[in-house]
Amino acid sequence: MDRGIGSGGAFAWFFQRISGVFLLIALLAHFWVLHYSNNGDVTFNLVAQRLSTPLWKTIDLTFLVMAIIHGFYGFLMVIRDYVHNHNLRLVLVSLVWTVGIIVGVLGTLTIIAFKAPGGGGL
Amino acid sequence: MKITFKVYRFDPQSGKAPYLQDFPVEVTPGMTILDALGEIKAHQDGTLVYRRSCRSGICGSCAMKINGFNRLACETQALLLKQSVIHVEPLPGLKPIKDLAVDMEIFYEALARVKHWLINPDPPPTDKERYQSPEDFKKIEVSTSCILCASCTASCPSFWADKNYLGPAAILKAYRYSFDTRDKGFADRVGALDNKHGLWRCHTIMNCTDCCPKHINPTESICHLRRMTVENKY
Amino acid sequence: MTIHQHEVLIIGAGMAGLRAAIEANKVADVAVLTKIFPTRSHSGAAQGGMAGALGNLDDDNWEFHMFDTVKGSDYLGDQDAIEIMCREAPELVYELEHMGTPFSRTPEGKIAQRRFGGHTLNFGEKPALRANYSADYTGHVVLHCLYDQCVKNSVRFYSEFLVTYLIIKDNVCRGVVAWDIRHGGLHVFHAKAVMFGTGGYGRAWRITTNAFANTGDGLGVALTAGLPLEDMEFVQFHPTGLYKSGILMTEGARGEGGYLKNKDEERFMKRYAPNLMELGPRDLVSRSIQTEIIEGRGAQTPEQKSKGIPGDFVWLDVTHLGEAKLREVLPQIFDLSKNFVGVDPAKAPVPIQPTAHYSMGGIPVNAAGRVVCDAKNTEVRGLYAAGECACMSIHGANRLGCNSTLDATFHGRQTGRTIARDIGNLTYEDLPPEAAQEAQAQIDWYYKATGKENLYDIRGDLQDTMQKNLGIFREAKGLEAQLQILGELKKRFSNISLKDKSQEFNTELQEAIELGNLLSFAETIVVGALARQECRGAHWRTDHPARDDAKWLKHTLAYREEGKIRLDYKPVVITRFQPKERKY
Repeated sequence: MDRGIGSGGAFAWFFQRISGVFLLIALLAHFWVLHYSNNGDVTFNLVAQRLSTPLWKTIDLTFLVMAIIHGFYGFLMVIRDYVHNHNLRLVLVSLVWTVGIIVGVLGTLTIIAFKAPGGGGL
Repeated sequence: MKITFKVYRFDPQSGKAPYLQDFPVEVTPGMTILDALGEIKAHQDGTLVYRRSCRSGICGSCAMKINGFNRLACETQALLLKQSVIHVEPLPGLKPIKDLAVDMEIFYEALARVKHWLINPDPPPTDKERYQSPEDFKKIEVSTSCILCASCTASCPSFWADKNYLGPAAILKAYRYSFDTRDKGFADRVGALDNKHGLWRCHTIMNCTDCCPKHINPTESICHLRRMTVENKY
Repeated sequence: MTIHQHEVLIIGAGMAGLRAAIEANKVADVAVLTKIFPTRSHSGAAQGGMAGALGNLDDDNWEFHMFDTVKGSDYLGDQDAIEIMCREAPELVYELEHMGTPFSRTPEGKIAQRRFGGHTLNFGEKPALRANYSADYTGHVVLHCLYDQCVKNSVRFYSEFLVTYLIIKDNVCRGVVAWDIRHGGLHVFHAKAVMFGTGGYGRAWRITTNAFANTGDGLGVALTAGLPLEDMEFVQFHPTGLYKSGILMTEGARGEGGYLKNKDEERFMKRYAPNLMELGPRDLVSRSIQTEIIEGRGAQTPEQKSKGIPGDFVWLDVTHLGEAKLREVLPQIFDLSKNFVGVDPAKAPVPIQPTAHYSMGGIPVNAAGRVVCDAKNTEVRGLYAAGECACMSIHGANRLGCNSTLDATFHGRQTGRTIARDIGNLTYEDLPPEAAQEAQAQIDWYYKATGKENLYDIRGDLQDTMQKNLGIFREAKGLEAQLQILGELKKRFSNISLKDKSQEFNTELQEAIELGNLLSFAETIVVGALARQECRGAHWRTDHPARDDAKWLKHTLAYREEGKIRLDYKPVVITRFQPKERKY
């Protein structure tokens, strides 16, 4: 029987807490920036301009990575708890990984490749 | 007062599916669930099977699911449940052997995985005790009163989901030794704890704490060990 | 029939069995047979402490401990064995501490000690702090620590096996036959050395601290195998059992300063033990409580009061100790009094009554732990016993509180060491073929029995009559009546039938076998008590109200021969302390 000695889990558990704290702060910051920093005026140009600066690209990339890891690790937890059929579990876990990677790649491309209309930014 | 006991009956040899059998019992003040089971066995059905020994809450034999809650039959008074029907079933999550008796093998095996004994390579002092402050003793005192009744592990949804999960009782034992100032064995236990069937399976549901007949809080011990594990690693 | 072979076979997994297993396992292949899982053993119900003159809090020394034990035994204890135990007790306690037993601590970090009944400084001057404790869970933590050590050392366990037959031929023990409770079926265990650590026999009484498991199975099979039982008439009643159930309320409650009070709120012990008060030895305190009850000073329940019935219990009052202190040093008695009598001990006194607690008698052994089979102390080759089922005799006519946890662990270790020394000279002796046949025939009898009697009713009647006729006070009339009753109960027992005919996990069969054992050795208690016309320790004859050293300073040996009990006697070993009048 699988006793699983030595395969760890401490880092994943610990990182889940760290990413959780990061996401909490980041979400609050996001909320403030979006709705209060500029009297609540959200215009396309304003957002586009922000997203064109390297600092904001870094922040958003970190945000993206953390959210994906946190969310998809959560999915893996739920699968581990509730899915006991080995084959189904394999399918679901592969699905989570695939979707996670696709979302991650698409998000990264969007952030990196984004250019503000009118030649601003990078 | 007449109380109907709906008792879980199961005999793998009979080939019949498990069922609940009604036993009416005249219950007097002070009568426990174990007393009622004894009365049923003596005068209604001698084939009823359950484990019991000390009948004073210290041996841990008679943990079972009584009205949906894991507890010791010996220290649960029937009248105090304030119900005219009492369901008596085996501990959930463990394989039933016969009637109310369950197979405890995986429970004991999980214990052994955390090396539930004092580990300290240094020789003890001769002709005196290893000193320990009363405060340090306090840290482990409550955890040493665990009676291995398995109420906690059998109430844990993470254990129901993963039968290889150590479960609260085994982790509590790991805590009891790892937080003993005389012990230096955490490194030997961490393999079983820092593990996909170890500490990280706990989702702080706290059923274990809720049902422990000795008022122990295994969830808290799990949290202390998680912290110890992370602090030791990073 | 499955045959297993192990060099050493230990029956029973309480403190004695587990401690012996750890020792013997160092040099031999050891298997432990137990009818319940090891940590379910009744050693775990010991609460107050383990004696040992560590002197952590006062100027204690082992000679005071030895004197107290001898005096407590009413001079029937064998002083050679008592001396060894008391002298080495501190070292044993340290060893348990080193193994990991969690003890309560003094402020400087030493093992905490409390007062216990009959333990004194300076040969009776004042109470000694001698009971090493872990709150009121001492037995529990020691038992679990020993189990943990056994698992660490890979001791082999056969849990849920009930020994039904002891194979002895030509005074050589060859093994046992045991019933596999879980799966059904008999197994033969072939061994070079067999040790019994099967515990006491308190379940022969109605009001008892003992577990359902304490049916003296080891004594039953030993008696059947032709061995004598020693000093069976000495059965200790613990002064403080919870009213009606008899569940133990530790003597530590009095050790920490608790009072005993009658219905007039009087601390009546001042009339019986003016020096030690509530901390007198158990036989004396139990007799005092019973006297209060008999003389009409027992406390009454509201129902008894309204109907004008005299009360049948007294109060254990610990309210003056305060809730904080109680929670710290006596947490278990909180739960027990709340769960079983609905009383908060911090707010109100707890109703208690004396309760059958400890069996001083048992299988006769010498100081090395080898079983002896006659008055000349002839050893049975390959057979050993330790703990409550054995009679060395450490406790004589009355055991002191917290000497049993010491006795069980200490003699478990001693006997384990004796076995380790002997094992090189022992061999696997031939198994007589009739052993398995006889054991099988016994089991078959239960399955074939078609009588009308209900075994639980027989057990109930046995317990009620033993309670009545072999209680704290005894007299010839009651004892003779009990002998008669036992005969009738045995006749009824031969006319039982089992409703459960299955093999797997048949607990009705198990209880029938246990009842057979109870009925078997109960006779030795009654016959021994009837013959012993004196008052000594726990054996109190109202028709012979004095100790009689000239005639009765000797151990009883009871044999069963052709269905009858034959008594023999052997001398007491007296070394340092000559018998004196016993006053507290």
